Amino acid sequence: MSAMVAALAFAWIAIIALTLTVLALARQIGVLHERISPIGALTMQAGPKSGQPAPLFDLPDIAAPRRIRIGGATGRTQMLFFLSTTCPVCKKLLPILRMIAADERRTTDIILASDGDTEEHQAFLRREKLAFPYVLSAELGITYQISRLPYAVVIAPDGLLAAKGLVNNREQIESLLVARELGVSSLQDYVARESAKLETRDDAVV
Amino acid sequence: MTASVCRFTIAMIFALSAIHSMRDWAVYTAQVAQYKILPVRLARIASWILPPVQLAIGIMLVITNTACMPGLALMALFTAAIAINVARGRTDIECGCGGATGQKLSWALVTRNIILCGLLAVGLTAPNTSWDAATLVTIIGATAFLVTFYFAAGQLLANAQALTPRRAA
Repeated sequence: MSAMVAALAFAWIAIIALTLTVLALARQIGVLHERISPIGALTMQAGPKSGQPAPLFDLPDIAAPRRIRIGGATGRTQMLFFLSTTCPVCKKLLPILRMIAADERRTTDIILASDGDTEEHQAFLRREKLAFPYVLSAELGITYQISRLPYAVVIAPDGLLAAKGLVNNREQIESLLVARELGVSSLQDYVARESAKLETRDDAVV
Repeated sequence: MTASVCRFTIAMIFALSAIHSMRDWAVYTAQVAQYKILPVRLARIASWILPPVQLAIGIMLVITNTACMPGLALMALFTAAIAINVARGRTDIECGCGGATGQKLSWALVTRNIILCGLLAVGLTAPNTSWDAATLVTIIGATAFLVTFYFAAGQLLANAQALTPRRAA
């Protein structure tokens, strides 16, 4: 009897160990999916191109009685952060935006952008205790061809569009700001440029 | 024996899923709101209540088979919420079921939940009795197996969804 119980226990332990292995493998594949998908913010090709003047907008701020100028030579870096009140990742990024805004406050203005019902957005603003300029404009979203959220656009102090892309975490938002500082339009662009440099170097060696 | 395995399996799944939701509560709140079944304020309250209730039912399921009834009620609620959104065509929102991240709503999840309801119904049929050693080993082993299998299958489903190219937005 006890030998049978021992054999049974062993068989179950073996089965569970195998299933745990399958679970671990599946998780690793899941993590790989997340890692492989864009390093840095994924740049959508649609909309205004990096290096071109950013389209000018003059929109009312729903957070305060003032108007916000988007684009043009403002002398400061502007980061438009496109969000919706319901997207979970947008919500997750709000505290990160606050930190970035504090870190970069001498050079950069962060502006939240969305479209839809003003009251709904004002309620959202109060709920999340946001202290950013907040504009609502369907036209702005259409101009930048925003199809997925959260999306960020960085406009350089000279009014040229510096970088833009879909952002899912702090690193990707920072990659856009770094891209602006390096003068490349996206991290992908930087990687392409660097590998082109390497290839020419290889040619030279050959 | 089968009834006990079913009951303990759901107990573990409930408890682990609830803990998973509570570990990233802010994201869970947003996920509940995204189901767009309750107005924002009520959805927020629901997101505070649901994980502790789920955890409590999970613990109760270990103790007594009468906890299967509230368990079934909770599963029916979750399943209805998923089915309504899949029927609305909103399959791009996250399940928030606990376990695999990035799991999107689909009929597969509805089917999964119906199977879980079936396990609960079986669990209802027999109260705890005393077990001999072989039965006890089998109950523990089978429960641990089913729970790991559930999470592995969930993760594989989420991976499969990530592999299928989404329709161009």
